[in-house]
Amino acid sequence: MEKEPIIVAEQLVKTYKSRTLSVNALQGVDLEVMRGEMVAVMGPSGSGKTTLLNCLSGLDVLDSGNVSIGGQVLAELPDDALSEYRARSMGFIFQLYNLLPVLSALENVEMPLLISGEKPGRAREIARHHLDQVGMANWADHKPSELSGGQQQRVTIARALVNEPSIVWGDEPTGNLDTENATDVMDLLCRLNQENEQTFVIVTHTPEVGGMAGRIVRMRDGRIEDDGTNGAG
Amino acid sequence: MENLFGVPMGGLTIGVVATLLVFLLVLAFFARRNPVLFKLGLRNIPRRRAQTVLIIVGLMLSTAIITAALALGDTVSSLIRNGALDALGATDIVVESPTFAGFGDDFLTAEQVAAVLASVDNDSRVDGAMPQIREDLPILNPANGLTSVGAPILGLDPSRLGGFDDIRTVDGGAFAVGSLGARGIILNENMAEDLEADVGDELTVIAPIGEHGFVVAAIVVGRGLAGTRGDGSNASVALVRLDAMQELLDREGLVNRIEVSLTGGARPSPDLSEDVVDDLQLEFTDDEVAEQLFVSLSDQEVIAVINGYVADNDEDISASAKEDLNELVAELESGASDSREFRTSMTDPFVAGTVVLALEEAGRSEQALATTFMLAELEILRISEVKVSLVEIADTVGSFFTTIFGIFGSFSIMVGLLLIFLVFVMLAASRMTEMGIARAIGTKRRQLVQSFVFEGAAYAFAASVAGVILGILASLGLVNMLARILPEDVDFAIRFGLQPRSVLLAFAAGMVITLITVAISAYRVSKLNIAVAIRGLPEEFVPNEGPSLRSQLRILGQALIAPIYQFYLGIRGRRVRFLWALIALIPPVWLILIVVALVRLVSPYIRIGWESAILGVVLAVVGINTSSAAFFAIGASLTVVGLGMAIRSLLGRTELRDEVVSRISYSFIGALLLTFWLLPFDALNWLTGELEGNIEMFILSGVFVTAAAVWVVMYNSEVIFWPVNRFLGGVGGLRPVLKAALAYPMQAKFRTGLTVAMFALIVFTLMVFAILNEAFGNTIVSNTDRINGGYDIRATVSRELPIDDINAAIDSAERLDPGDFEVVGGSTGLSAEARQIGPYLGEEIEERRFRRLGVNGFEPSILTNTRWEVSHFDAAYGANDQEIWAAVAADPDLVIAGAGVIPTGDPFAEQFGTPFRVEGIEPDDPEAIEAFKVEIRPPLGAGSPIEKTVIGITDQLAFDGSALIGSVEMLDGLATGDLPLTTYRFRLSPGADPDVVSSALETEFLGNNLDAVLTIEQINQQLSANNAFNQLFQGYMGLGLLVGVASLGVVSFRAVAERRQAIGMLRAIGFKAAMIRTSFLVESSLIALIGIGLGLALGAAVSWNLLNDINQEFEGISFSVPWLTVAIIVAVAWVFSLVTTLVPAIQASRTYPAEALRYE
Repeated sequence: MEKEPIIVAEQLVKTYKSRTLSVNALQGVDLEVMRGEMVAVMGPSGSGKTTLLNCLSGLDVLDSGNVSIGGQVLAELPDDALSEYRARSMGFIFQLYNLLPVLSALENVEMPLLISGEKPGRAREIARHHLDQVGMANWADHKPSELSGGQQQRVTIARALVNEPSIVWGDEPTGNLDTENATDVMDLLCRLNQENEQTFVIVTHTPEVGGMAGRIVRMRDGRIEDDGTNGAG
Repeated sequence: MENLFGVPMGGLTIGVVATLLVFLLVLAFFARRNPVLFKLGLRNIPRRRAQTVLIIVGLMLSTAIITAALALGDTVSSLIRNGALDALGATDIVVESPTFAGFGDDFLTAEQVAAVLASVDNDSRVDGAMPQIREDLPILNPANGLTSVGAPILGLDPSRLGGFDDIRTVDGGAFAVGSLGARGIILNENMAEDLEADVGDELTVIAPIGEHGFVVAAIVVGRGLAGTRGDGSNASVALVRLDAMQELLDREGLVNRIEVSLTGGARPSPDLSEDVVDDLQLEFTDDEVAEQLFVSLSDQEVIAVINGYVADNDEDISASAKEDLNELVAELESGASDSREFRTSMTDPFVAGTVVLALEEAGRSEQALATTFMLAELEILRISEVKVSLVEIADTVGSFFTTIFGIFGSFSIMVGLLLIFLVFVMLAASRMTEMGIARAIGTKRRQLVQSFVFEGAAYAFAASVAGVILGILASLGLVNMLARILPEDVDFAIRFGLQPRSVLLAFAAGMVITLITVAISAYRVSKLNIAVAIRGLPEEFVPNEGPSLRSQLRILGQALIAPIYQFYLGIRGRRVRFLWALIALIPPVWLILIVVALVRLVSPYIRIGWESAILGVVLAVVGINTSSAAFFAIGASLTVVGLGMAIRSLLGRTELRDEVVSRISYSFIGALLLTFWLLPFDALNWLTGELEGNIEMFILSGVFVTAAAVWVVMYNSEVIFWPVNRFLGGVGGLRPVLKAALAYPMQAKFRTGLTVAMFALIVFTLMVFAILNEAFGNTIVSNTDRINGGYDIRATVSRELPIDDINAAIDSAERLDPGDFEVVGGSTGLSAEARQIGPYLGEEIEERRFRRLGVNGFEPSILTNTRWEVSHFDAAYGANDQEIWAAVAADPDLVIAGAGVIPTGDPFAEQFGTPFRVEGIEPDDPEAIEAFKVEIRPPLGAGSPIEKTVIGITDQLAFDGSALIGSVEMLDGLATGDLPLTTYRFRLSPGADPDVVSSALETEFLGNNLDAVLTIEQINQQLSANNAFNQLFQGYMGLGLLVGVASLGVVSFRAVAERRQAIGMLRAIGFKAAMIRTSFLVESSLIALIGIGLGLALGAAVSWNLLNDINQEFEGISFSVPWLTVAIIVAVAWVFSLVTTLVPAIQASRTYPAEALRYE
């Protein structure tokens, strides 16, 4: 059966302006991502990868163009509804992990569930399960400062997946990791992608990471330069 | 205001300004040496304008509090000073008969008047002298029946107005007193208002020789001759011609005072005034008596006795008194009886009293008695520096207010300093990375400190200027508030007064303490770990191993000889060290160097704990041996801290996680300190004996209980927040919000603890004050009988117009119904001096000098029916209060003392000199005491002493002053003439209307100048005056709340900056904008509410102890919580903290997720 697109972006334009400078981060980007697909967005620094991810996930606003996720046009959603949408349907993995330093690994992971209104006991149970899935069950009560970079990123992944979102966004998820940890993390993401059929959009400039995705979108100067199926994927 | 904390304001200002100048010079020196660092420091200021404003706001509050305290003191001082100066006008000196009122006729003879006038008229320093009669006589306005009682009428000589200010009519013109007819009367505004009289109205003056009609010639402004004389009398004054007054009193050709005006205008000139008074006193001293006195005292043996006494009592005699006594001895050895020095010395009550005492001590009782009699006759006239004295009193009261505000404001100032510290630590945290990089590329630590101090100095300057302005505005607001809340019958207008000197002092003091705090913060900040700082890990100060013991000892040695060492370095070629040598010669700088070296040497050991525990035990033992509560308490607390740190050190070697170790040790310290400081004051008396403590114990207890409680809370936050999580967590989307809101402040324990402590300290002070106020107010309201003795009306009559037999007069009065009166009785009193005669309970009495006190004689009806309570009494004279009062009524040799004779240790009780105090009885002693004997005599020299037995001491509510109370007969032998009854008390029968009876009494006894007041009204007035002061005080302390609120603002703004990425992440995973906002508000609310809650609870606990302690000496006072005040404190503090956090909270919630995540 033909897969349907979950993310549809049309003519995305985004310009950053300061008093003296104007940067065209996105210059008319069109993109479709299918449900269950693992897409790597690659390109040199300043090519607009992170901006594209932010605009697709509703973390940033567009100057013009449209993004719809599962048929819902993001621009039509008010801020609160968009937040709720993110809480229920999206997961995020950042380069700098962005865990709350004052909470334990378990508390960090259960946070999206609590935001979605899950009961505390149940939230804890699910969070523990997801920590176990990423191999961090024994570190549940440790704070981020007590964990290594790779461990922190595993916690971030557990947090991104705990709500069983339909889309997981990753912004350089292995950018701060050594090769071994980076490979571990990507293996984990690929496994979860295959097991759960979740859509992954991952921004990276590392060819090895891109190589593990099913599709690579290459960007340059705010435009998609190349969009093709990755042979390795 | 001339003094603050006992230090002359001028000297204090010079000292603080000089310190500031030294600091600025040092800064300027370094700025010149390192202009780059200077520029780097200052360049940071305009980089973030909002942050700069926030820092200045945070830094200015201490200066604002100091300014407000000084402004309030100055206002009170100038209020009294200007009031006194306005009322006195040109009058500087008053010449009167030396005989005290109550001891005989106080009129001057015609010869004395002529002599005084001849003397002053030929004195170029004097520009006027006004012989006059000033006497209280009743005035009636027949047209409306209104009367004026208890107010003076002044008879003045129109031909001697030269040198005195014009008497000005209310319309603004000068009134020509010369045109006043023999039956003309001038009223000042107050008097005209009392009588509702206008120009042309006919009034009746009631005099001993009958009623006389007068016509109002003018209504004048109540200043100068038409003003009051600071004697506490009514502000109403009437003026008539001197001859008319002499006729009214049947005293032809006589006056009872001469007012003298000195050249130089209305301002007091102490030196000129003292010179003229000394000259006049010299002239009006009896030559013959002076000669006798000189012959008697110039004996070598007597001189030896005086010298011996001075040597034996070296510690008790002040330096200036010693100088006076030495001058007297020098005069006795080589001078003459007519020397100015001898006569001036002998008319000085202290010098003369000491000579008499020295003679008595040496067993020369007869000579002492003879000297007393001679001293009584030495002064022919009493010359008083009335203007200088009044201004001194004004300054004393002003200083008293500033001291009170300063002491209580010290909490706010401490909190302000914590805020300054917090501001700089957070500023450093925000610059951690760039400071790390600066260190990495070779910037030295001291250069970092310098750059930070330069920046801090600029903030300190701006903040001190802003603080002074805010302080002035705040005190203006408070003074306006005071003017509005003062009871309506208070006669003076409140005017804001702030001396430029106080502004300078506040500015300099604010800047000095800010600079010191900045320097300490900069030093702390500079101890960063470069690698950690570059990585930007927040609040990560890596402990410094520090130099070795040997190098610390070397540094201490260098500090001990700092100037020499620096000079030596200078000789070795580092020329700049010569300057250092000079700077180190400044004693405070040298001292600071030594103290810093000592602290550095000792601190590593204190951190381990055992050493500070031992030091604590030593201090505690010193406290017990010297009976010092402060030393003992600090020692005990240090011991607890030391033990806790030792436990921490031991547990640190186990497998326990650092978090658990900290929790155990800090909870141990906090809990134990709390228990110690909240124990009843006498709980450890079995161990320590009775310790002496004062206001410093209140300040110490506030600081320690707050620190202890904050420690416990910070290290047990999960337990405390469990109920919050449990109950609020279930509400809608609050759980994730609470999770974030609770976790952040508890992670940053240092800054959270500091902010909580700020709130807690301020609320603690407000709470203690509110509870004490409530307790005293309630006690007064529910114990009016203990205050007024159960008498509804208290009335005074003129001494010149006494009532012969009050009961007979009531029986025959038309307007009075004898059935309305249950008890009626009169009393009279006089000022005297007394000393206790020992031994008492086997102990000799240490104080052998006579000290001032009041002596009051009551008719038996008052004493036997009174409801005044006796707090201590000798059971040999009666089994209860009534029997003790009855014993006093029956036996003129027995007296009861007022509660004020028991020393309380209150530092404010003796602002105007030490009154008579009893030895051997403490306020909290049991009710049963042994009677003791006292000798009473009229003020120095006016008669020989008589002996009385004191069989009891009254309750504080009855008589809180230093006084003796007995029967009227008890006064026999003290007064030279008859003492008329001048005060009456009336207890009314049930159903009688006090208002009606009181006005009927005034009307019926108009001829006696009877002035009746309802005692309950007096009590209520006192209460409302107290309330006015309390509100002023609470308003002032409210400034401290601003500090707490500002600190929350600083913390919140910093939190938004620090957590930018976390905010972005939370938004990314679904936090709505409102949740971010709520999270910040919940966080600040929690901090504020914990602080407020701790302050309230600790304030209540300390007040409980205080009241229990007070109850031992002030029976009937009970603890109750002023819920309304508590609600206001909580509401104001909380709402303001929410408002302060709202801006950063909104700012945080509006940040777009992608933008926040991008921010580095």
